[in-house]
Amino acid sequence: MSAPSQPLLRVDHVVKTYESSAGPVHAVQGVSLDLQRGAFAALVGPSGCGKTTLLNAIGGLDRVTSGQIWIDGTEITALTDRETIEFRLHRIGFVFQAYNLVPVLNAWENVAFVMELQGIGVRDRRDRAFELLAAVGLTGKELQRPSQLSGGQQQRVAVARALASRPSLVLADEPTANLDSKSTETLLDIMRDLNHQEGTTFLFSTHDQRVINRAETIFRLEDGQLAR
Amino acid sequence: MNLLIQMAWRNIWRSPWRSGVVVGSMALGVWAGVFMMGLAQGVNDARTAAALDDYVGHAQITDSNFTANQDVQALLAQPERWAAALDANPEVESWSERLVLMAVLQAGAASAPVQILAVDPERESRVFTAPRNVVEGELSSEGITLGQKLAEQLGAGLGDRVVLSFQDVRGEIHTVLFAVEGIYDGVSNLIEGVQVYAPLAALAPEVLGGDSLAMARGAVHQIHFRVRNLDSLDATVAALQGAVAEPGSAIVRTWRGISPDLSYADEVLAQSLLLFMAVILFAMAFGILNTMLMAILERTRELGMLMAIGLTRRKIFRLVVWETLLLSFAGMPIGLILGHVTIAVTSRTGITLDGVDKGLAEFGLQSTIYPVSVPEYYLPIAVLVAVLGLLSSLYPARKALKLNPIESMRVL
Repeated sequence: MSAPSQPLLRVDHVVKTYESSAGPVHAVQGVSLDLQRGAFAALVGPSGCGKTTLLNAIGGLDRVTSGQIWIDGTEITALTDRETIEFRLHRIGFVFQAYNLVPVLNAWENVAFVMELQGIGVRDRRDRAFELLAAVGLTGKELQRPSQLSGGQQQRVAVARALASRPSLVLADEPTANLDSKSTETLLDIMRDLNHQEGTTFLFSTHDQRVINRAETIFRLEDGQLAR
Repeated sequence: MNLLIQMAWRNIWRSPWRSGVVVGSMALGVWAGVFMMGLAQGVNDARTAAALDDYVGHAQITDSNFTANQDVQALLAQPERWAAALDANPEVESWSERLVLMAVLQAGAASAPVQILAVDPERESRVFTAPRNVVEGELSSEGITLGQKLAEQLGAGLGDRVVLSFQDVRGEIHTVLFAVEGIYDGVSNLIEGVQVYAPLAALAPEVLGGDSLAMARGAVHQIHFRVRNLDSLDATVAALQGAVAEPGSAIVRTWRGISPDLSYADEVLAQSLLLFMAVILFAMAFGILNTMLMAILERTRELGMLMAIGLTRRKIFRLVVWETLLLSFAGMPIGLILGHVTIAVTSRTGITLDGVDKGLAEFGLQSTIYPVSVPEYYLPIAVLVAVLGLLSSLYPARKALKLNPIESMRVL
């Protein structure tokens, strides 16, 4: 089965409803959107509008209640759990709000970890990790563990890790929420450069105006629905 | 090295104190287990050696009918040919002939059933230690020698006259008067209370009932012998069997055949020592399980992130199993080395168990125990650690498998 058109990401009438003790929660209500290859886009809206829920669904971390999501021609909503994990490993990169680096691995090992899971040889993954760390301005920090890096530096390692597997799409959930202004600008510059150099598509969920200002495409969510 | 294994190893040391306690307790448990195994092996070896030296001997040549029912008529055929074969074998250190018969010993108003060992004192003392442990008088070629325990029971002392009543080879009852000329200190009270030494030359005519032919052949029930090296015992026995043509109903038995309980004790000990070790390690497995469970619960968020970026559940499972195995194995070599060194030292110095010497004497043991190194148990111990480590990893690993990436990453 192939996608009806050629955007990198197609979200088609996605609904996500949670059951809670207070009754059903309609987190995402029939959202449809297309994202072109190489885009630098932001999913914006106030807290609780469904940004993270939609991002998780796009990343295959959460199942949708109804609707379809296509990434690079693959309908990820139709994949099994195992296929979803495999798809995520090769096609999607994640950047989390709290960096979420592995504390016992140093910077280059954190970046190389995903490549190890992909079965890439140690020399190649080391070279790629060092190259990416250089691209995010962390030359000389390769052997440092997360606890020895600042918050901004950790998030840059996380960006390098997200790009290590050469994914089609990088999903970044509030990536600047824990960073100061200077670190935020630096990080956004780096991601923009990587977006241009590697042609990787970025989709942020954010309510940070600095990120919104740099995004080329903006999807605004309100109460689980896309605002027009 | 595989990054997953590196991660597992480094994860262990995220809580150095907690892991250190587990590693230390594993080392302590293995040390205690190895040392106790060495001690128990030392006790068993000492008991076996004492029994061989004192009353079992290394090997024995006898008639199979005598072995089966202690029939006084079952004399060893062609004893002179066996004696010649023993003399000719360089591995044989010494040998001694015996007539063995059940008797009743009467001393004054007291009496007791005894086993008479009619021996040549000089030859007997070269094969067994008991005749050398005569604490009063001597192992005489004219009188009899009692064990301390029997002498105490009968109230008999040196110079007292006692009467032995027994059946000869023709079925006739004989009573012979002997003077007590020696009292020996046997390997155990059990032996001291039953075995009585009598002079072969004096008793043979009575036992053989005047059978001049048998007397001329030097008829005996048993020939016991010692070898220079116990490792060569089986080869020596085979050589002796080959050296005597047409041995008839004569058989040559090693100490394992003479006293199967000693041989079984070795086998039972090996199994019980491993069982003992398994119990120690089983108890420790709960500590490891608890530590791993705490580690998994503390790292819920991280495990969720790893699943989100592409770590499969199978690899999460493997990560937890590796961590548990490495945690289990970290202390084991330390424990093995400490146990080995402790045994090496105490096997030279010995461990004296004051206050229990009488109890140990009942089992033929000295109060100083010399532990014996048991390297043959080290591999089974490693396998036990691996199996129990693996088992104790299953529950934490199962917990980790049930994690949901999104819910896990919400955990603060």
